[in-house]
Amino acid sequence: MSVGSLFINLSGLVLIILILWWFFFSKHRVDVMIGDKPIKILVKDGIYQPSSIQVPMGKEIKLHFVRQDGTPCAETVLFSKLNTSYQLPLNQNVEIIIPPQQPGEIEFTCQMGMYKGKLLVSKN
Amino acid sequence: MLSNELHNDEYQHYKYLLKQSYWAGGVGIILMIISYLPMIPTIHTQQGQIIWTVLGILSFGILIYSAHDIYTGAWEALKTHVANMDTLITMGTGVAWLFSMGVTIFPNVLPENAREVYFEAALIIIAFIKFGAALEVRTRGKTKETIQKLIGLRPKTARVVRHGNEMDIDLQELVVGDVIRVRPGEKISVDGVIIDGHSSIDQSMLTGEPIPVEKTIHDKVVGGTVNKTGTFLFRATGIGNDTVLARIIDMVNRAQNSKPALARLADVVSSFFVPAVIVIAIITALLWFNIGPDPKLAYMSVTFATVLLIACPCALGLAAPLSIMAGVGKAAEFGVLIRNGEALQKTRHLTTIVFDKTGTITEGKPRVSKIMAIAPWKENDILHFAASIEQGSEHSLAEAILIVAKDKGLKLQSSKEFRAFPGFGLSATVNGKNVLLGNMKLMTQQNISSVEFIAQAEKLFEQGQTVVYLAVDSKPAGLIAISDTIKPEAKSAIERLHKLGLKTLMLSGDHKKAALFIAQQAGIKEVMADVLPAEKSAKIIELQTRNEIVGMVGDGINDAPALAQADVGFAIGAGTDVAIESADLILMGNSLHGVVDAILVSHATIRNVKQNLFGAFIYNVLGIPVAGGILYPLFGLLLNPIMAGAAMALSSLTVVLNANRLRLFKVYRG
Repeated sequence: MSVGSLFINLSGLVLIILILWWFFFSKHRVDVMIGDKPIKILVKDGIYQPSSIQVPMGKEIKLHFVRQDGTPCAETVLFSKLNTSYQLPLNQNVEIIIPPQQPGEIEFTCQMGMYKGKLLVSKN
Repeated sequence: MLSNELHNDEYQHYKYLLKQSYWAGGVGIILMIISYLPMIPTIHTQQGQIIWTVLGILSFGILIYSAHDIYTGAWEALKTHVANMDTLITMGTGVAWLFSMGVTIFPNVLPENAREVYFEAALIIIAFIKFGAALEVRTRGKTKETIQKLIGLRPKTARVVRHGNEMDIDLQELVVGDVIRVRPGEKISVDGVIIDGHSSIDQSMLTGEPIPVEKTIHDKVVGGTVNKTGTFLFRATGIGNDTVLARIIDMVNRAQNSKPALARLADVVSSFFVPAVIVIAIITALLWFNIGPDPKLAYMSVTFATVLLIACPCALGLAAPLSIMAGVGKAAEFGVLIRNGEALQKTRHLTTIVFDKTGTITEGKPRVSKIMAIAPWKENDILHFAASIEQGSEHSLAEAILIVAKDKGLKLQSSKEFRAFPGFGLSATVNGKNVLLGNMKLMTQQNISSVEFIAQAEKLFEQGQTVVYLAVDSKPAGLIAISDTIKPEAKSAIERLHKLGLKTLMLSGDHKKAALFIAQQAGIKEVMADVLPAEKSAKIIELQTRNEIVGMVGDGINDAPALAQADVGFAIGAGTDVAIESADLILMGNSLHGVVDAILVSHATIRNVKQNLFGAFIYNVLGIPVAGGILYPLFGLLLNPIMAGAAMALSSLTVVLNANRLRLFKVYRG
């Protein structure tokens, strides 16, 4: 095997490892809810910003979704665990109130599961 | 026309997507034509290299214009450890463009037969994707049509009578208790009770029933329905989010966005779909590089891009939600509200439908048909005792007795020591006498000899009449027969259920013979009679242990436990609170055809979901290996990245179009 082909094969393998690590195993940035302030979540450029939010348990959580992304799949945000979903009209602030929760993860996604975010309900 | 169908922002977005598509497509096609023109030098010459570098830069500019949102989306997603459709498109078109630019600037790195450029491919792919997205925006607007129609039912203003003056005010300024005037042809603004006048009201948008309903003083009116002929005044009882219409909109909205269990697999798959496809694309590229024919680098790049571009998690993710949205909307058009996707999925599996009798199979408007007295009592005495004891009761039988007493001008007396025996009857002291009113079970329980009753009662039962017995001071005194007519459509609706292969059964607290009579008229073969309200849910369990999947149809309030126990609960009743809270499906109209319609809609919707899911799975399962070149060793067949991009755009569009077919679904009530 020539140096060139060894390089290409190795690059491919490294790339596969990097992809698996980046998407499945690396740590995500987590934003923290401060006090009772509502959390503004921007739906823009194919993602929720912020997408990982630490929230306290046993407390009502107010989320303000603003959708600036015209892609049709972004128009609904689903909270599968809570069995609820909301329509997000373009460029409007939609307030979503999540009742107090037990510790754990609450995922929110678009209908296709391509836009993803989660609330990390923790004791502190 | 289209601008009416879509919200203004959505319409602007639709137009923008088309513009992006036209630019990418236009320039892409021009580049394609140029590459075939004999006078344009190839990249093997220095002159050609310059021309193609300029064209490459031009295509880059157009790509940025037409797909900048996709590229930004991919980058933003990558930063948050997420991979989505944008990631695939960016990588696919990015590889095509970078490879082409590399070939143009350094042609000598590659063997001569590998020196191909794909600038036009990147552009045409983006054109397809943007065109598909534009069509999706447009067709999606149609799946939401039902909710838009419901929202459109809300009038903007109401004519309020305040301090003797009439004025038109904004709906948001209304308060509970306001008196509102409704003139012929106007929409009723909010929920309320008529206090003056009468009219016929078209409730078809809520109930699916085309015949207007006559309403007069004390009758409830629902916001969003249309006044036909008369003028009346009503007092507002529910405004804002507290109206039947608001709750319906909320429920349809939620149901349209919920997913049935069979769509969960698609969710699991789509959660790791994109990174998996990227890994598959890399493996494919490496395979072509190591064991593929020459020119290896060219094949490697092409298959890498093709695999990325053909994969479409969108179709997978969209498959269920769009069909559910259309199905729930369709059901709402028939006056059937479906709580969620789960209920929609279960409805099609039902094997037995259990009906409550009073108010479900029958009109629920009982009237006294016969009064019999045992000497020394007279008919009017019986009626007098019964009506006195029933004063204040909301039971439908009580209502029938009180109406007759009122018609006869009887002066009622107050009762003392009142006791209710749920499912049996009542006892109280009237005019110093102990009065007992109820069914045979109550009489037997209280050791009241019933010999005098039996012969008379038997005849009445055979005519389907309900009999209540009256005893005074522990002695039989008389009986009152009450009859109720079956709903005119009951028989044909039950026939439709039988044609679908479903079993039907009627539950009733009434005497077996009376229940049988009604059941026969309606065409129901099996009857469970003498059932106490509390026993209804036990009967449902009994059926379930016989492996029946049970749908229970009831009027929502006394049937609540049975509705909850049944696999699917159908509540009849135009929007009562309890009905909306307790059942899986709500028949806004009182027609039993709603049950059959719901089952048919459920079948059609789930079939549609399955077609969509199957199509999307098969598309990806077959498409990805073909794009990877699995057919190449056998047939020398390899997909072009442009075809992959087109197929991808087409796949989500197919899902959207298939879901839209549900809008054309019709039922024949016979």
